[in-house]
Amino acid sequence: MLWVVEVEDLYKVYPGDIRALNGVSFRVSRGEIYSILGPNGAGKTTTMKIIATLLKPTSGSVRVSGIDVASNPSSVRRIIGYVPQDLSADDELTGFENVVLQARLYGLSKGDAARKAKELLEMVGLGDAANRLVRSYSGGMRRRLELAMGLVNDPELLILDEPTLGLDVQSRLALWDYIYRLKREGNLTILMTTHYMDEADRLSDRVAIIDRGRIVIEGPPNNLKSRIGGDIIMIKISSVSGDIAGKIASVEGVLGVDLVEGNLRIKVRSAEQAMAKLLGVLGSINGQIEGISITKPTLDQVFIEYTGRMFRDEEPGDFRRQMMVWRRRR
Amino acid sequence: MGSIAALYEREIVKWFRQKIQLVFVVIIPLMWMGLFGKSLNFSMLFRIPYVPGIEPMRAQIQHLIEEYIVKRYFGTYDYFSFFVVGMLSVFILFTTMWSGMSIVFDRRLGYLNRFLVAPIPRYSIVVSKILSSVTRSLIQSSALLVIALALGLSLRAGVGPLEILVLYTIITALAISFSSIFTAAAIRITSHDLVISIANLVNLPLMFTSNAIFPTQQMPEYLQIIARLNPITHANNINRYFLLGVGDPESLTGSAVYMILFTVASLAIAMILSRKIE
Repeated sequence: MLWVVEVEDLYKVYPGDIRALNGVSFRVSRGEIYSILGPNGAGKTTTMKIIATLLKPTSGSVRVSGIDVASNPSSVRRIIGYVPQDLSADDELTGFENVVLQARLYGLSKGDAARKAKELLEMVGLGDAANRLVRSYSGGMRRRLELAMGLVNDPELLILDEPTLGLDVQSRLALWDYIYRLKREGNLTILMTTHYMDEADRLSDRVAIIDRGRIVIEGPPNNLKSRIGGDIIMIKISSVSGDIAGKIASVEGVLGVDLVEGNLRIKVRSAEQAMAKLLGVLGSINGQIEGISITKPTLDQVFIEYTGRMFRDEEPGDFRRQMMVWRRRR
Repeated sequence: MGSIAALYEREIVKWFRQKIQLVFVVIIPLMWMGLFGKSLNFSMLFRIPYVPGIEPMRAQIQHLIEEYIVKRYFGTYDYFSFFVVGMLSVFILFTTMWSGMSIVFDRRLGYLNRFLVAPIPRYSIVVSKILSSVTRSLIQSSALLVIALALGLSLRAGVGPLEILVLYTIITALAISFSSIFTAAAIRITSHDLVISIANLVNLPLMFTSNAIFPTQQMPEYLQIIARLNPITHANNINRYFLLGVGDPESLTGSAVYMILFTVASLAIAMILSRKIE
């Protein structure tokens, strides 16, 4: 079976004619990380709940590994792991007890459940905190526990609904690490929702942007971004003489050159490839280069392009900087 | 079965972890028995004080009053014991009427979603709630029994393991019935306020429309009918006969049959409604 998730023409209308989903269709193939990205209220959680058998669609169909969710929910439940958006671990139990309980619900014996719980808690870095009450966990620890609880049945499909919601930057990055490792080590297919652009960009093989109950565009993050055009290189230079722009424009991969407030704004197909060639040209000019900056097209811009609206940015201010530090470390 | 055991363990572990709960298990019967039970001392009410002139006949009149009023009415000279055995059933109600609360909170706190996405039958969620509520109510009524014995509950001569077994069978059946009804009622409820309202609505009426505090024969006709439908009445009927020797042995079969039917029906309703859980 090539497709692990097949969603066809999903509609969900809540009482009061509230249209949560307006014909959502997509497919996720085995081993893929597929993100559904969109603002709050766009229909992400509704879609996840329908796939996880918690909600019935008004119309449309969902198959997981070829099994129809509506007609055979219990078979689907056996092969999925679901990490809901709301924290769902019992905070009056320990982390260990929570995972053991979850494992037993999937038919593991007490002994097997305990072994599985130990292994999973180690994997998400909660080995030392396993016997503490969940009440005493930090937000990041709780999210990691949720992740472990979603893996007790070695699912074919892991559904993560806003897995990093409300986390600080460090905890978010740590969680990404675990998700990434899961993908690398196993044959796991991951379907996740997020309203963090960077999260979708960083983790996913493919992204679908959902707005008002419809998927407006779908594809690998880089493809989506390249539809915006290209990267932007800004060069601040002390004196600009006439023929610089012409020289730059003739470099391979440069799509256009503008002069913006004394800066050269160069639109290129790919900043990495163009930069090496540009440096040669820049070395031959008279002016003093005072600064260079590269702007990559972001999914924010994709969202704006396809919905005609701004995507409300809910990230902490220093997030992007942290991201860069992290990328360098990896 | 495994899923019921796992969910049941969770409930029990959580309950025992709250040490303060165990304190309340002791305090609640102490309050009811020590304050309410002792203040409703009807035996004292019928004691003749010193009246000049009747002194030579006082003991005889006293005996007649106790025989023809207290004993005839309550079936025993000892109202406190009558009251305690009635309260063993009422305490089952008082404990189990909150059993819907845990489903409502599981839903509110998101735990329920975890159970609903697991490949377990829906009834295992409801059955585990019923079992934990039964367990807690039996612990509560056992505490009441022990405390009441210390405060002067006197069982009839010859009460042995068999009578205690009857008592526990009856209050277990009662606990299963009430837990099933209150859990089933909460299956589609999302507000804990509503659970509180339901509990408040039924607790005192169910106690007073039974024979827990007063026998039913002095009640008006319509109340007697309600009392006869109230399973607490039948539980007390059986328990008082076996523990105190009070009551009519011929009524026991009827009460036992009613208890069985009521328990099976309540449990069946809970099992059917458990499919509606979401």
